[in-house]
Amino acid sequence: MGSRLLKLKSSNIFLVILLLFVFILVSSQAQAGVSGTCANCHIMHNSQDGDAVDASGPNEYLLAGGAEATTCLSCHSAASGATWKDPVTQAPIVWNQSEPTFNSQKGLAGGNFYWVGAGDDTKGHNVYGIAGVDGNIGSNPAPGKHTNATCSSDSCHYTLAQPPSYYIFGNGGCEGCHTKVSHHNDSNGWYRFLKGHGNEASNDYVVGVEDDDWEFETATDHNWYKGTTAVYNNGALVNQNTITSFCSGCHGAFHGPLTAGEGMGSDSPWVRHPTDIQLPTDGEYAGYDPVTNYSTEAPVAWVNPGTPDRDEAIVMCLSCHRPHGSAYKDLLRWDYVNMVAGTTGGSAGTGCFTCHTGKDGL
Amino acid sequence: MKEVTIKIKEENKMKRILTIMFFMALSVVAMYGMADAITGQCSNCHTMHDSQDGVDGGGPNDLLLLGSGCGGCHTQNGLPSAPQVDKTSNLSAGGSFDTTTIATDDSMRHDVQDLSLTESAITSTPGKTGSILTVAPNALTCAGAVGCHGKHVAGMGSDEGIKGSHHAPNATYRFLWIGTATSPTAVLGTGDVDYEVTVSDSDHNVYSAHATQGVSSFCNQCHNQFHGETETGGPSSPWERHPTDIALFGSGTSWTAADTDLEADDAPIAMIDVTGKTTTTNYYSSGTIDETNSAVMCLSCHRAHGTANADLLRWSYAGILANGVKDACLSCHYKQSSGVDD
Repeated sequence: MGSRLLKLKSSNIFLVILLLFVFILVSSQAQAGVSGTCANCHIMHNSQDGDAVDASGPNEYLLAGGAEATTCLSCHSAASGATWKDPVTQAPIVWNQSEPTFNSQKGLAGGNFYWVGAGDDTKGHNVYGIAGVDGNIGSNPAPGKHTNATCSSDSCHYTLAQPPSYYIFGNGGCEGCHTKVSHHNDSNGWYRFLKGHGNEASNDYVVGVEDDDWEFETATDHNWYKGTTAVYNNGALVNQNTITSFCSGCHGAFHGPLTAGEGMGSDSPWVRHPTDIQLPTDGEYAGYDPVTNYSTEAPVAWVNPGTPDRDEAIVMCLSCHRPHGSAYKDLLRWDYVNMVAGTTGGSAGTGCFTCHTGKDGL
Repeated sequence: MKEVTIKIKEENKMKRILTIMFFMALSVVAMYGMADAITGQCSNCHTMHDSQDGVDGGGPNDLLLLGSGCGGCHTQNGLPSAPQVDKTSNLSAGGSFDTTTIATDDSMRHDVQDLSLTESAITSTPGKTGSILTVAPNALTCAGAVGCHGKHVAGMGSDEGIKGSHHAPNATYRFLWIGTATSPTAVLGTGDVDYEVTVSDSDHNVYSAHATQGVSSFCNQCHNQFHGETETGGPSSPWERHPTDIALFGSGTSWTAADTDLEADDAPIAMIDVTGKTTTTNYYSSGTIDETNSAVMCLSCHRAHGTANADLLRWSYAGILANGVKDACLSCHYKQSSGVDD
């Protein structure tokens, strides 16, 4: 009886610790509105001592810096490669005009626009204010644009590099993806302000748990992305709320069942690298357990980001790519050319081989 | 308490040692005699989304391959780094499916769908009665349920059948499996690194004549009437069909190794036990023949893909003349030769 009581007490203590841990975890990563003095970001009349604060202003939302549509960059860029957070506004830096040096991954979770801004169109999304229209893609639509996505060429489904007046919805550039910027209200649950075309009441937004330092460091915590095993084509963000269903809005031919040459297939053998599927638990994939050994180099999403379970680990677009940009072609998290199968060389155990553990030489 | 702790530590240490020894032994067994996994850049063979610069790549293809199907890599229009099965010169051990100058007639090749080859002369697989695999006319594929390479699980096409094989180290000879199970029996043997494009008595494939894992047992899956004592006429001469997987020398045979003129390219032999045999082991030249291990096999006479001779033979059967030099058939059948080596 005494022994049983002891067991009960132990289990209770364990439960309490677990609950505390979960509470702390959730608290530290909960979404919250921006904080700080209003003057950090806003100027009421674009006027100070008789002069304009921003010579090219005034700006929308009474923002202090930046011209139309590049306003984002006034807080979210930095000249120095060492700056990861704006020293005044505390905004995360997504475009360093010198090569990022503040961490080993050379950028925050979304990557960095440095390389595309420096002229390499293959290494970032070409966003207005940072880079002109992609010289390789030209007037072609976004790679993998699904024919179901009927938005015309004056939409973000073709380019993010045009000025706002170019777009049918009036928002391109950063707002082509971060369509509903909501710095003062994160209670709406829009992960990183990633949302579709719908109005504010619409359910077409991405769900996830945001790391409070945007993965400036990844040793202690990281983002938790949402995934699903549901079968869907593009246009399903409103139902799925996953990061992959969001990317599929512009790159939908890379996802979903195969129809008329578009899609990834429905099962192995896949015809395109699958996304929003379960990371298999058997075979070579059993060698990667992101519950116990999560890789921020090759992250996964979860059916329930708040309660990760190995059986619900999901392959997603961001398992391989960084949406802003990276030091590698195709915005990859690693250099695909350096991924060499069947060897114990430098790429073994990294990149593709994080999941494909049986294809390196280890 | 201290004793218990020490005992547990010792047990754990022993477990670790045993585990390491087990995996070392397993890896030795697994590596022995089998081919290595493919090496090289992933991008040599795969494209993740079949997209480049906003333009489709022409696919998409199964397994995210750059080319479509087996021929997408293994033909002269495929990947130069992959062994090509339709060459017109410098042929590999399997021969060639080329229809322009090599296997110009149906009788000279296996007609595989994947390469758009069709068979017009025969309507059923020769020797197929009661076979493990049943292949309908013109249904043969490179791999899969009705193919040669990869797994033969019902319903599997070439791509699904071969899936994973190129990255599976040391699993089986040339991705050849026996049986229709999801975990089939591996064919033993060791593939020459250049597929016998260069070949000599000390540079060759190592074929197995194992009773259940030999290459003839593999062929037997479709052509079963051409193999086994029941079909070939018993355990010894007089045979009713040319035997395979039988010892060439030793007890019960009347041949002497020294009198044959075996050659890796012309009349290769299989090893009853491949242990210790490598692709550079010379068991062909006079004085080096392993008399207790040497056996005749299907591939002693045939090449699997195709040749310039009828019946996929390594030589023209019509051109074999008794009392000739020890070549082709007469490499083994030296008693029917003139006694002169070729």
